Amino acid sequence: MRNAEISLKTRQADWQSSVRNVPLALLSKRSLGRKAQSREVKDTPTIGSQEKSCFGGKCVVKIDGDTIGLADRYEAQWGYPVAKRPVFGSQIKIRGTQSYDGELRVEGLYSTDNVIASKATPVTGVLPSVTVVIEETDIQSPTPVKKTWTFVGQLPSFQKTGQADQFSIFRMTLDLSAEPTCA
Amino acid sequence: MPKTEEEKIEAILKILEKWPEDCPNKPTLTQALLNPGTLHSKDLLEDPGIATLTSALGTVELYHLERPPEVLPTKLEESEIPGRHGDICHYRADKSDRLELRGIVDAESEYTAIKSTLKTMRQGQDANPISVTVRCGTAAYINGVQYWVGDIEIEPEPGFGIFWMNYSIKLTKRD
Repeated sequence: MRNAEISLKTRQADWQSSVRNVPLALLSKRSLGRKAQSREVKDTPTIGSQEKSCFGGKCVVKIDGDTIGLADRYEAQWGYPVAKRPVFGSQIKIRGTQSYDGELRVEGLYSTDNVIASKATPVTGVLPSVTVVIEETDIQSPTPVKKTWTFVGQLPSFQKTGQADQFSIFRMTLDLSAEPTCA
Repeated sequence: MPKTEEEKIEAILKILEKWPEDCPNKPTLTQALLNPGTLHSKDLLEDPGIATLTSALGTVELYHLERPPEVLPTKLEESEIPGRHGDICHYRADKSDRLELRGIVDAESEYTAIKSTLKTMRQGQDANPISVTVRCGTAAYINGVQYWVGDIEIEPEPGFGIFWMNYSIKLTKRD
């Protein structure tokens, strides 16, 4: 069990490390004020499938109903760690599925009307339950399809960074209390 | 002893049938064919557990045994002499060997086997001695040795959606 927890924490640390290493200059080149981003990526043929094109779509991030206007990127990760226990006289470990763990990380430009930081403050000693909705819309289909992902959890980690002549950036980590749903 | 491939597969199937259906770590036929050692069964004729406790009142298989520590105690008598450092010991004889079986159950049927079947066997162990076999891989290094079954501890572990419990069975050799 400990190994599984350590593994998850290591992955989280890796991700946080990689995010920290993103040059702020990259963010400054992006257009300010945009809510959505679209781009076309040509996929290479894979075994068992025909050549196809993948299209990016619009993406909107909302926290407790309020749209985060300048959300730049997000990454969700969830799952059930597997406890592996060795048994006597065998090199094959037995496996037990453990309890759910997951988080959603959102990063973006921090604007003056942003209220995310307040979600990371305990109310009467308890961190409030926060709902983050991510709407992804396929802008290339004849009939655009919108998928709505709903993440529920608490916000134990909030980060805000700034630099002279650069934009102010926030990063938040939502500790998921349940599996996300997609509708 | 199975000789032909057909006989070996048939023997493996019979051993797999003995595994509890609700055990999530029950090997599949493919896994067993690729690695017959996971069945802990020499020549594919023995019981499937790493340890087996059996008497006329029943049989309990322990499929996920982690540690089987042994203690070989003595009746070592100590004498203390005033004014002299250290103790003087007198070796009287050996005491009965102790064995403890520690492991995990991950299915309700395995839990019931310890909680109910083994307890019934323990209640009748005066007239029906309990024989214990412990295997390292497929080699039974403790093979059908009679032990007294003592205290049994079961400690459930949180964070699992199944019966995931640690157990400890204390045994004293019948001399």
